[in-house]
Amino acid sequence: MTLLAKLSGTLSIVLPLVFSAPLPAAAQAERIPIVAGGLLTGSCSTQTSVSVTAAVTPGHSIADSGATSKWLSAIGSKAVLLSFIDTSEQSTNGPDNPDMSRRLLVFIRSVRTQHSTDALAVALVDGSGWSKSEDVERLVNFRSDNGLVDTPMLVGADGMRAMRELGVRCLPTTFLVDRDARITARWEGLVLPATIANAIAAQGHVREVAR
Amino acid sequence: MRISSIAVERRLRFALAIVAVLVLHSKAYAADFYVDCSLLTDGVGTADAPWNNLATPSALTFMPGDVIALKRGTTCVGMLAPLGSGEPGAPITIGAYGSGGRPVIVAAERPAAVALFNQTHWAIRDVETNGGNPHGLHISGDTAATLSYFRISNVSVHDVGGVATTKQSGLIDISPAPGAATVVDDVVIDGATVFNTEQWKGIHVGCANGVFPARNPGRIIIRNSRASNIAGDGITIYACSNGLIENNVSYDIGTASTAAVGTPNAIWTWACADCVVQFNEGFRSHSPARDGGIFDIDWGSSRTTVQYNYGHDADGYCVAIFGAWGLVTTNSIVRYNICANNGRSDPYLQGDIYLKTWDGGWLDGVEIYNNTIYWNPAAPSSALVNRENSLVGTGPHFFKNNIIVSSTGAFVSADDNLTLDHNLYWALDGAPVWEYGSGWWNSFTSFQSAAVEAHGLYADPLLTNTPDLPDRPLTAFTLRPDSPAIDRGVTISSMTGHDFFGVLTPQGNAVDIGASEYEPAMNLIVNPSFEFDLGTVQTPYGWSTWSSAGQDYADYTQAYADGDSPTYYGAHGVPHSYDVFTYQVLPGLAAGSYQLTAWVKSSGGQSVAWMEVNAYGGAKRTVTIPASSTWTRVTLSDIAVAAGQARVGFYSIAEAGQWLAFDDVSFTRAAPPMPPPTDWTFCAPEGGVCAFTGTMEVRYGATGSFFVKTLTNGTACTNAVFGDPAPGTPKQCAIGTLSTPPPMDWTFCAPEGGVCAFNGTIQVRYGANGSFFFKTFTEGTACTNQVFGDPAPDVAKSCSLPLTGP
Repeated sequence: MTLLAKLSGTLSIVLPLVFSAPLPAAAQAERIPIVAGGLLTGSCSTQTSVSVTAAVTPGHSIADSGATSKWLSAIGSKAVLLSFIDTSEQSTNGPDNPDMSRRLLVFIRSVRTQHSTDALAVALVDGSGWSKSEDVERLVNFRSDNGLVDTPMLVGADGMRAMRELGVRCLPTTFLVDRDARITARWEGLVLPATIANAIAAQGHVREVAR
Repeated sequence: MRISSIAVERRLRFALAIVAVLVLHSKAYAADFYVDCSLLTDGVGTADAPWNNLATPSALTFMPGDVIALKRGTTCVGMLAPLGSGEPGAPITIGAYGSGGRPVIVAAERPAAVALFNQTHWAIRDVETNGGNPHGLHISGDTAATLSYFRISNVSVHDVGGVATTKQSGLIDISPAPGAATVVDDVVIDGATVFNTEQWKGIHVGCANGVFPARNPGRIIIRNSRASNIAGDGITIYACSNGLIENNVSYDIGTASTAAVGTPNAIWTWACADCVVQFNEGFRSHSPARDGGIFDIDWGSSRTTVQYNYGHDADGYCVAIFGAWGLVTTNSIVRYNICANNGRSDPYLQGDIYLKTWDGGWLDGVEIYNNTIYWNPAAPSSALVNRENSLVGTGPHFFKNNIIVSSTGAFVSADDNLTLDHNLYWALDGAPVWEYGSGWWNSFTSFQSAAVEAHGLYADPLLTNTPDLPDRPLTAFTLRPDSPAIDRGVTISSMTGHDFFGVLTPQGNAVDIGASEYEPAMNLIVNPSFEFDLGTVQTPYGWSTWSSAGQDYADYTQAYADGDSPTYYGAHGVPHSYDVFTYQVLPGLAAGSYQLTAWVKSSGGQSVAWMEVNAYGGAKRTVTIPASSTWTRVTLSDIAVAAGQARVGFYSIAEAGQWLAFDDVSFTRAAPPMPPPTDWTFCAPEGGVCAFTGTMEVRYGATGSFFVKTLTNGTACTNAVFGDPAPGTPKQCAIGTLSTPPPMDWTFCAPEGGVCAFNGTIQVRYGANGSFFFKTFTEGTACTNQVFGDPAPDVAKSCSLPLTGP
């Protein structure tokens, strides 16, 4: 068992709803290219605006995405806002900090506030990579500090697998998945709440919280 | 006796703590101190023997670089008010250690949970506070000094007690004491979550008590923070320069039951110089009286920009600009914001964009442009309100390139000291109404005839996902390919070069109207550049493989070159004969014309080597990939998709050693030809009669769904005539000017019965209310029915000339 698998197993006890099913044999043979202390991919280049890509055609099904699909199906039949984020980001306390994942979470939480939980779920995948045991504490603190203790979150090797399955190129990347498991939107970088609201409204069946 | 023992013990512990501090500081470098309030016995502030209370560190003077770390997962009761100041490069930090939830400071009715007074260079992070009255986290001072460098990050401050009797209260407040000459400078609040208080402020930074000039040389930044359930304001900056409020969310603010303290907004600045408010979201703002808005450039501000924000579902306005108290507010810019569903409870009829001056204040420089406004007020007020205000000075004062979609038809109530132009208006219900200066118009034609807005448009902006009213937020913000807003805006010198969504502007010949710039060519290919797999794989992500001989392994991605960050392309080729097809099916395609392109190269010699498109509703089309050792672009254009999908791919039938490479595949929809700009004028409700003479385009429908017919001499406005474009929705007929005029704007020339004089040969439009006849004349014409015929009987008509330029 690799260190990554150990970490994932530990977290599956500490954190609810963390996917920890064994990987398929073929997947075990694949390289999971984690570099020391670094990311599988880089940070998205857009800092102050959303980059809406059409890399995943609206209507593309997430059902073929292996373990990720199983994990999402456990959330239930509802729309899912699925964000791949970098939990290792630290505020630089400077005027130009590029911590887009942290910035994105502010808006993700706002979207969650505005929509009924039985119609729209928020799910997260940590794409920061796992290279040392201190990461466990970091993630526990991250989830607690950001009000995400009850939010489903893939971490470690499972997170990396989800990134590969959905072709995530940079962090943060956000998908909107409809209740039929079709990807209806994909954004790289910071996505603004108006954009998310626009995409959710296009689904037509996700209702807002009564005002 | 017992009390005396405790007192002695406490004094002893305090002395030991002092000794510990002295010992640790005797090394001439900063030290870390620890607090673990879950311990039964007090320590000396070390990692092995932490303090177990807040009183001890609050009695000590800390040194630059010191860290006071509270243990995660624990709760301390009291107020943390340590003494001392850091210095540049060595702030004193209040933070956390360990694992678990942030350490909680429960202040109950103490003045604050964390307090600093006349101190500088502090960082406060990773802590949660509960209670305090009237503050949660309070940094202040009363000396004639500059208090500099405060960093507040990853904190939660909530449930401050009491009820506001002054604005100097709330959850996070960093400002001088009232009346003091203190200046606050260089503040960053990043990642603060504040909520629940009947005190006034959520997050506030005030740099001085005077307003001019702001004396803080450093930045004042509030970002990535959330403020909610607050009696007063959400997030504010006062009397500062270089302020930046970005990426915050503020909602459910203004819950105070009376206006005794004030009237709040979600995010605003006043007496602020060179301040920017951007990328924020505000919603559900309330107020016991006026305001109750989202964003506000308030009195005494200079060079403030509110941009790229989303304000929705407020009781009051989306954005306001104010001048008051004998002070000027200069050079205000409000651009590329999205405002939706505001004015939900506004008896003061402030509108969505609200300008107001009072008590000798004035505005010098107001630029409001490229905002998208869904105006759905509970009370019948206009979207733009600018009445009885002082807009003077050298700055421009205009409202341009904005989209206003109104559920009531009320668009503008403004004095003529604010120029209108290039705006696009659309009424979802009711007759359109403009009030400008002393004039009042209830049709766009009459509004245009008054020469108030030369380049305005009245048309459905054709936004994506046209909303249902009124039970849900309005969330359609981007332009459809056939939107009349595309390329109809005017360039403004202060533009930044991108729209609300980050799209570069302009994309076409001119900027679009509204907050969204239409991108004409969106690539619909999944994994178009073969980079998703981050390595050499068979059957690249997003693509499928087919082979008649089971040789699906013959397609794969290949790296351009080795290195730390290789890039990849798609390829065919194995060391024996093979056939392989790499393809993807693109579902959900709207009918229209598309183009498929790719960069390719090939060994040549294959019996088949082509790029193809099929299953799109027409015959399969291919383009042969030529033999070439360098990259060449191949294209299949004018693909008329009619089947709702298309299958695109690359096919090889080859012998050993023959190869094919492809990269940067693109499948884009060609922009449909722009229809002539169409102005639609209400004609009759469903069931009524739309009367006109001559042949006209008549549109029938509602809320973005219409059927258009070309009809002669009037028509019944019914489903029987047009079909039903919007079942269950009340519809209406509107007359268009589509069929005859070329795309142009018109300017008033002469009233009916007058003479329209001009030089040269020009086409002249004659009519009213969307019903016009057109003729071409040389050197002028009489503007009469005898000359043109009568396009609108019993209606006062006018002649107009095409406007030749912006």
